[in-house]
Amino acid sequence: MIECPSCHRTHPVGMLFCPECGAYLAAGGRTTTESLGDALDSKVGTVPLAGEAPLKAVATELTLNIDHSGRVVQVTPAPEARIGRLDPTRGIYPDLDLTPDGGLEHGVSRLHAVIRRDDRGIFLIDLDSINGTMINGRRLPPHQPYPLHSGDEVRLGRLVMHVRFAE
Amino acid sequence: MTGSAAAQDKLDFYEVLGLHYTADLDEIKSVYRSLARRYHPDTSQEPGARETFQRITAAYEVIGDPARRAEYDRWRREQGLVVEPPLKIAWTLSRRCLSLLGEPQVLYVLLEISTSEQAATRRLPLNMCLVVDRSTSMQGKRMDQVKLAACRIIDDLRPEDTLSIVTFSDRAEVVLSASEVLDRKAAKTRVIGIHPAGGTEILSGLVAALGEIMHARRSTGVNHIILLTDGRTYGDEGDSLSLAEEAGADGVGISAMGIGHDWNDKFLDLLASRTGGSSAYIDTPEKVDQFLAQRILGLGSVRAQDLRLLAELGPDVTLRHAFKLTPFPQEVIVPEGGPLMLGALEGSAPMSMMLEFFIGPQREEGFQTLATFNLQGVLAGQAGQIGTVSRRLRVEVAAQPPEEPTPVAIISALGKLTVHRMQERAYQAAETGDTQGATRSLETLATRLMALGQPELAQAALSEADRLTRTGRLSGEGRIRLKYGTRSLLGLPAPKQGS
Repeated sequence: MIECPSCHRTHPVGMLFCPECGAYLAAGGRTTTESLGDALDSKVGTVPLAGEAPLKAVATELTLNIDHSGRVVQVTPAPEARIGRLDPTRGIYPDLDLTPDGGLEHGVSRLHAVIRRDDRGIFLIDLDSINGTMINGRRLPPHQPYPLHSGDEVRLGRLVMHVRFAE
Repeated sequence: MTGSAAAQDKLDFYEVLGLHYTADLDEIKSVYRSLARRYHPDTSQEPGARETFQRITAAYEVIGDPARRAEYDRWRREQGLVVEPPLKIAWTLSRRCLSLLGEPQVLYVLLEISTSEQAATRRLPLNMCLVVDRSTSMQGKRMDQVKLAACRIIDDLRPEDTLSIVTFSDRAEVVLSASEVLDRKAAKTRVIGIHPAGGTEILSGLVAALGEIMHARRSTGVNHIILLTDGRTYGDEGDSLSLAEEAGADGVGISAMGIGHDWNDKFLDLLASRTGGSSAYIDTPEKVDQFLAQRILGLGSVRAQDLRLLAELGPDVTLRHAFKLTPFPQEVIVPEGGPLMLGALEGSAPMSMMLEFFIGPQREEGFQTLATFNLQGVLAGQAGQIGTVSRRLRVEVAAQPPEEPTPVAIISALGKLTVHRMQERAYQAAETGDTQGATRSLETLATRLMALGQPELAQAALSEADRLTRTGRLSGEGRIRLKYGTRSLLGLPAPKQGS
């Protein structure tokens, strides 16, 4: 049996939504992102912005190697790929759902960041997430595109991943 | 190369893996993995494990590789090994692997039915009967709009179509018979002359309508009854439902349209479902014309009809609920032992439906056949020829099922279906006198509707909850708005699949 995180009634394994209260059951436990406090306290706004990105053939696909879960996912920003945590109850369907990678415990917001591709390059944009987004240890100001490179380390809250562009 | 190798061995790679040739890559991979575990020569105790292992690996090397598989499929077609069935069944599962558990579990199957029949280039011949409620309450705008719509249908009839019109109040009257030669002008004069008076006795109207339809019944083309009513019938619901069942068995569909909010949605829903048809809610009389025109357009684009799906269930497997999502969101009745009546495939899109299976305790690992789906349907383009297809739904049972994300299409459809069913639960609670439970359910429903970005429906749910607390009663309007409002959410497309 599984327990509904919202109304605490029990249901058979495999049921996806609570028939009583409509909550998404696979989410399990709490579903709101909590502030991690200490997570990312480095200075904001010390990073170069989108306009200065180098001109080169832009990769169409990248892989993210997620440290915590060991999962390697392919992301194709066409032209955008939203990263976060799936929450069907609120109608939030990110292109990359980090729930199975421990996204919630690591402070990933439902809509945390977006990877955008245009003819200048690939960019990472923080969506004003609660626990912030970092590239190589630098925190991104919200809603500002920041160029992403192969080999970069990205942190969403406390969830660390490594970026690799497809050749 | 792969082709000739297979020819020498006289092996069907799909058969080796026990797969249907339409299986997707995920299914192929999971079946291969499980077979490979079982027959691995280093560990297997099975006789002939080495040879079996070599065979399944050879098969997997071809059909597990999209490029080589395409080449192999082409070869199979050239050899005439592939017979394209006129009807196809495909599915997406909420999970591909069940848990080895000593308690019941649930599996959702998003089933898709399509046909290789080409969409008709021109509209199919229609044999349809318009059954119009002419009770006193229809007087005024409602009847005027129905008359207008009926006249337009008469104008648009083509020589190969048959139209009959039946009105009913306390008794039925045939306004336009299927047996007469169509005189458009005279027919329209008779329609204009329909005078609303009396009560609502749906059964008499349906009996007359079915008589008209059967008189002009045709094997190519579509036989269909469209019922328009704004009221409740009393005492003849049971007989009407039996009649609908008969109509369904004869391949006659029923579309039921309720105008306003004083009609019995439950009854019309059941009536239509018996034939695989659908019910619709017309909130203002001005929309009658639009609803009818759309319905007729749909009927004219039918590619396969009178679809019946028989699910032979494995031991300890129950089909708890079935809901059609496209072409019209509509609950499907799950009869004991009999087939699900699914109606028609209209237009170019496949039919999709959500099935909820309850599966009893599992005792061993390995592959299990949960159900065998036998589908039959009348192919519209081919003089009533019947097409059939049969597919087995097999899933793996494992002590440690691999963690995999639930397909977005399933989550999205099920999330909306849950909201629709919450609305039904609330009304059920209210009907059994559980005012408190119903109020709570309606409030929870409002929250969910807000979260889904449906503030108007959420507001409707809240005012119903409020009314229930104050007066202990619910409004017919609120009920119908919520029912058809949450149902129409189901027809919305799923969000795009994530990477």
